[in-house]
Amino acid sequence: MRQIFATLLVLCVTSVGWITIVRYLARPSIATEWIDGIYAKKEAAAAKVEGPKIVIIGGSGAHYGFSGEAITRATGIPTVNLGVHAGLGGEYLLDRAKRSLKAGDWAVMALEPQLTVATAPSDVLAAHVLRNDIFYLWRTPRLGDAFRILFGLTPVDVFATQLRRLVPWTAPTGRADTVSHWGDETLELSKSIAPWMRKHLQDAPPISPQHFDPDNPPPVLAPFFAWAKEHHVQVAQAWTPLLMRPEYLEEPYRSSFASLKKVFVKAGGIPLGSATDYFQPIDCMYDYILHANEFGRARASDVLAREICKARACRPQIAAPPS
Amino acid sequence: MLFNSPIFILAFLPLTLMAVALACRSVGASTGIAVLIAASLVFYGWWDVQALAVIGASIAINFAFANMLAGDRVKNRLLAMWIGISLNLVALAYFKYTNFFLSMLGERPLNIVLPLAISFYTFQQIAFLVDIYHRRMKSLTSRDYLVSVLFFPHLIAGPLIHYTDIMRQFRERFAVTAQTVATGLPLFCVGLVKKVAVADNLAAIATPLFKQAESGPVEFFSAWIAALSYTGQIYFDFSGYSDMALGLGLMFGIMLPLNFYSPYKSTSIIEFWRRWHMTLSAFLRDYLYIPLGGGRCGAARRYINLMLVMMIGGLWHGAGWTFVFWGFLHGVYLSINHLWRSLVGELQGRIFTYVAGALTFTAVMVAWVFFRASDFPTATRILAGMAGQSFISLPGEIGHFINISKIIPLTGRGMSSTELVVAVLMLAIAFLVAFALPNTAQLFGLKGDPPAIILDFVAPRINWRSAIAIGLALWIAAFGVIGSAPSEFIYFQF
Repeated sequence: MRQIFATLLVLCVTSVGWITIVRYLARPSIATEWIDGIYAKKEAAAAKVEGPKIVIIGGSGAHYGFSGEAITRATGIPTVNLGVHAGLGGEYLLDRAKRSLKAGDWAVMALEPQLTVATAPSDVLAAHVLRNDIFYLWRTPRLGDAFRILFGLTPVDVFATQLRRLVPWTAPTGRADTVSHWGDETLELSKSIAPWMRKHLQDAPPISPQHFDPDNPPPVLAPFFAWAKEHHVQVAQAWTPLLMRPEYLEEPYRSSFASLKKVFVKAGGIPLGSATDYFQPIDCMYDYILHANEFGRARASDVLAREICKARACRPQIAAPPS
Repeated sequence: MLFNSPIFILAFLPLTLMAVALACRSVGASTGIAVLIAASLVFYGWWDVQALAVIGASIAINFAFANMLAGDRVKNRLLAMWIGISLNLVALAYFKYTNFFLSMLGERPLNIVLPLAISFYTFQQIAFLVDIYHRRMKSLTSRDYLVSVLFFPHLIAGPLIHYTDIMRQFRERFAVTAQTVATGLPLFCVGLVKKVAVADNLAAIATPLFKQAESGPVEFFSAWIAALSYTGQIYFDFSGYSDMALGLGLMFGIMLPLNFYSPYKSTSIIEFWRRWHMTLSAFLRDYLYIPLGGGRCGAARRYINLMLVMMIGGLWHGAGWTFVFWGFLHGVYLSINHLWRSLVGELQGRIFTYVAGALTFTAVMVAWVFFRASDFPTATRILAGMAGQSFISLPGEIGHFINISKIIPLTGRGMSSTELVVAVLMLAIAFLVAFALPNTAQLFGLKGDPPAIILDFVAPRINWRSAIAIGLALWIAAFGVIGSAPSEFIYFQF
């Protein structure tokens, strides 16, 4: 029996030692550093707004796809873009957004299509949580997820990251310093589009259509709906800018988009336009079917601002940006 | 249910051990065996409940034939045995090879779902019919037969076992106690680490490179890394599985036969096949090679038999010409090896040992390329890359650090610097373990020479050192078991 305890003790001590290495000694990956850096800026921007505000929640599709500043100017309502990284998963993004929301705020959910479905924690989430948000381990929706995060970053991953970090990062993206104090991306990505990115966009397969039951909201969304109701936060639904494809106008996509909209309406959410309103031509996209460039960002922000003003009173050009 | 999945390790295994232990203690060993059979059915049915019907039918038919052969009521026992064997082969051919033959004829494939482990349990039961025909066993009960086939540690991918060997152990030492669990657990942990820490990491290197070879040429260093990674992956994957099976067997007091004995340390192909998948080698030798005449009918016949046995062995692994060619290559290797021995004999000396070892390893690795590749063009692209027939390139960063840009073009058309360094490091670790460290049998004092299949076993004492080692092994394994979705074992597809 003592040997069993010794085995368990070794397992625990080694695990704690490993978390210490990941958290304090090893260099984080570019993605982890970027996530941490832009969360700091975006959450600081949200914290500075004293009155009711709009918080756009999503992954990198929302980050690159909307300008909080442009929407603020167009609506007069302080808007913070809290879009970060889809690799964190819908459950984490929504859980984290609660810190930036208070009674009277609008939570505009512009989640990438894959984020509405619960998935196993990714290595992106594991790296971020172990390094920057360790207490999330106590709040994971499922007990198994906490263990999955705990062992989600392997020694090989960490070693590979250390090697990668020996080489200077020269790409324009993945840098927190290109994010404004509003939390918006400021890169003019259209100037860095390489031919392979264009080809990648052209060759990309369409997204998978999903069908939702309005009476049974997806487990990823349901807890957030309940929390928002309890804390008097108004849920609204927008769509991540998506590379336009003709098939998205036909079945089964039409009913797929409609079913997600119904989920939000049924939960008391306000629909801010339809998926088609946010579709973008290829010239407005960057390197991925959900990453808009500055033109796509301006178009999607216009649409979102217009939809917000349809749903509530706006005072364009009045609000000052958070300073 | 995979041995490396959380559901198996955290739920199925502890519950089964507890249920069997309880049944053995409160009622008796026969009830314990019945519980074990039920658990094994759950284990197998977890993948596909419908496959239970196929394995059930296979067991029922073979048991009926075995009863016929065991008694004296059947006049022509030889005919009965051949009918039984033929039925097994027809079932295997239907499920595994129908689409292969249809594709050869240019016909559209049928929607046939391959039942898991059909190759293993079919061979197992053919051996059983032959053994009972030769009266190598006296009595036969349905419960004993069921447990010998269904015993979950060996059901999916072996080791292939002989009924008499396994049933003797079930009669004499079947039990679940703290001691049996403590004996099996270290072996299981070693196998688990081999699988999730080494094989799966090597798979992550080999898979994209073989995928790349499906559509175009592969760079020189990438091609070598692809071949070496798969050579390491298949060894650690299958020997890891076999160690886990051995450990699981020991938890029930049953010593399954050893399947690997440092095969890459072999200095000849003959020796390689005495150390690699030893139970399949023994099966092919006892039930195919020797009945065909083996080496008793002259040199020419021996080589024909070798080629035939190895090609059938290749086809057994998978319904594809690349598998047949893999078997053909090994048949050629074995023939050359036998011819060399008959003409020159065995050369002695340290240098010869190293040269022979390197030659054997290279020959085995080249054959693995065909085994892994989805088709011949893919395999030839990898081999052409290894031979420098495509292009040579290093990532710019590496070329810069070691200043060889004048010798090797730094086009960056191969692997990235990080991928390359991680791959080289993983390969160094893997082959250090394979070549320099003791194998599982040596590590745990499993006694016997490599050709001996059933070995005596001295139960290790669990001390502080082993407790710490198990803790470390569990920590390493946790990344593969909990931190990511468990990956299948390569041999599960056969």
